[in-house]
Amino acid sequence: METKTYKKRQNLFKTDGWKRFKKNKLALIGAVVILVMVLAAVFAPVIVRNDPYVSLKEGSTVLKDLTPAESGTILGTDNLGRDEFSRLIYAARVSMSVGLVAVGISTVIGVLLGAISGYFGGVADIIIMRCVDVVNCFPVLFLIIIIATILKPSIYNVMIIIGLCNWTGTARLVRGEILRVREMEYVQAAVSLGANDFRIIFSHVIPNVMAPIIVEATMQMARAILTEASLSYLGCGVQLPTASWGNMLMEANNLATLTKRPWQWVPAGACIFLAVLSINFIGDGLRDAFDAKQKK
Amino acid sequence: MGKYIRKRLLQAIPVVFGITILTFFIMKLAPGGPLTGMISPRTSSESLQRAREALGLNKPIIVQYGNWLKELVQGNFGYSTYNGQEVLAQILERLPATLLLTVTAFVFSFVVGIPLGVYSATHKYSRSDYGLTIFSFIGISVPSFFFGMGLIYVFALKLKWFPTSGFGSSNFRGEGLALFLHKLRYLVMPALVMSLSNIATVMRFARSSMIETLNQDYVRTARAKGLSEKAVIYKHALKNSMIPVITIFGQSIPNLFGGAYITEKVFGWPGMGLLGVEAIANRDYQILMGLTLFTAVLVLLGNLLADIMYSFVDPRIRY
Repeated sequence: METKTYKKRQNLFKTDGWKRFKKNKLALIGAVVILVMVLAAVFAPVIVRNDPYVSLKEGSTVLKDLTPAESGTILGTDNLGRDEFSRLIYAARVSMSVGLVAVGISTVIGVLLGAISGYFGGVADIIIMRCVDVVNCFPVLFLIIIIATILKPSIYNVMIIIGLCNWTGTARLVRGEILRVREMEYVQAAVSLGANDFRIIFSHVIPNVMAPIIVEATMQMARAILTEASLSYLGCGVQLPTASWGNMLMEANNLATLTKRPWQWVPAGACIFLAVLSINFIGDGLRDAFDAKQKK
Repeated sequence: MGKYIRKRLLQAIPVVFGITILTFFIMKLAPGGPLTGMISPRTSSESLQRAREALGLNKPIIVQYGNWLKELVQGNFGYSTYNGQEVLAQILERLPATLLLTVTAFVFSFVVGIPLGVYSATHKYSRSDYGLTIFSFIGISVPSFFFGMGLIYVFALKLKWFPTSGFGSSNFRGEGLALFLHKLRYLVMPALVMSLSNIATVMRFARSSMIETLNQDYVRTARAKGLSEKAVIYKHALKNSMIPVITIFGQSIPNLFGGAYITEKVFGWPGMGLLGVEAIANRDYQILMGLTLFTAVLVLLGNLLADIMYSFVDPRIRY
């Protein structure tokens, strides 16, 4: 098993797909931006000077609502005197981890249900596809909001809920791919060799539909980050005092802050935008490079 | 055709049941259930028991679901856990404002998105195509609340072209055209925010559909006949390439309604989304549930309509 994954990894950088990906400038820029954000999130305690949860004080006065220049910090302070830059960096942890975990959950569910539906067909297919129709009728944000409000809003619940509500795209995709692959010779060969269904699905079919699954997962990661930010902005996502880019914008959503203290909302909004845009660029680059079928 | 529509309608029935079942069981997750709003620390356990019996909460879950569904069909969506008012009445009161916003955004996204997509496709790989593609990425990536706050900052607070929020000023005493223009000023920014990501989606879809159409044999035939490029694109390709765009009609409805929460909060727009935001703050599950159920049914109807439209426009659809 070890040597097998090693071999695959070595090959990846020599494939045509990788060469095509490298040529896509937007995707590369996106990858660099995300890398920087992930590194910032991982090494947050090393990077920031001030604790993101403690108000800065000078003697007994709280240094609140100060501009970068006044406070001597990189992005100024917020309405409670906390260092905006520290909060921004710690919020990257929230967004990145919510995105990753949520997409992990939705991809696992989507692949499993899609595989069952496409491979076995019949009643299982009908039931699963009707479930997809049902979930698709709900605006995802509505569904997520109601569940997030009922359960106690916390970062873990947000991850799970976003994951549970976003599997339909992957399920449909995997089902379609499996319907296509199922009739191919190598699958027929595996069947005639007496391989069981589980083995056929997971060692013959899924590896061959990996490319579109990864592309879909990347695009979903962008949406998951956006959803988390929206939830936190509406107040039913990540709860204060834990900083998230979404709830930093929520805190700044009043006319006084909008006009007078742009440093309290522009950086957080820009971070969400940059992260989502970069991931979308990466996803598009991956699609062009590895998913030959969908190439325009 | 009739057969297809019948089949499509029949397919929708299990989906309607699925929607109600999912909604019902999510509601069951709510702490305290429908009694939450009525319980105070002084409520005795006997009176609680009596209330539970009166509402049928001691019956088997299937019976509870049946009773709930029966009430639902008769238009009883339950009562707000916060202020005890009827849920459906509150939703219907807010519906027109939201519909105005969503329909405007819907029309706007197709009126802007389709021409941009067609332009992009007919100028494939040119500089403007590249620019429009980047624009579409920006459109789907920018958080709508950040975009909205930016618009308020620039166009309402700095330039003072549009009001910051709400839907009409209470001191305004105009009628007819003046009133219409007054309201219009409030509509512009929220509608723009709501439609941005949809414009991007429509544009990308129209672009790839148009490119695909331009590769068809009949387009080659038209070119071989010596028709001008304009005639080929606008007479032969355009109509056919727009058929798949209809599928986006159905898909964009849940996105637009989902965006209502955010857009209406940013702009203080008095619609269903703002009702939902208030309900989140009050932990008013019944209102949230009603909103979710109501929009799901709207979305289902929208999808049905889009599919039926599709079968009219594209006679190749057969089941």
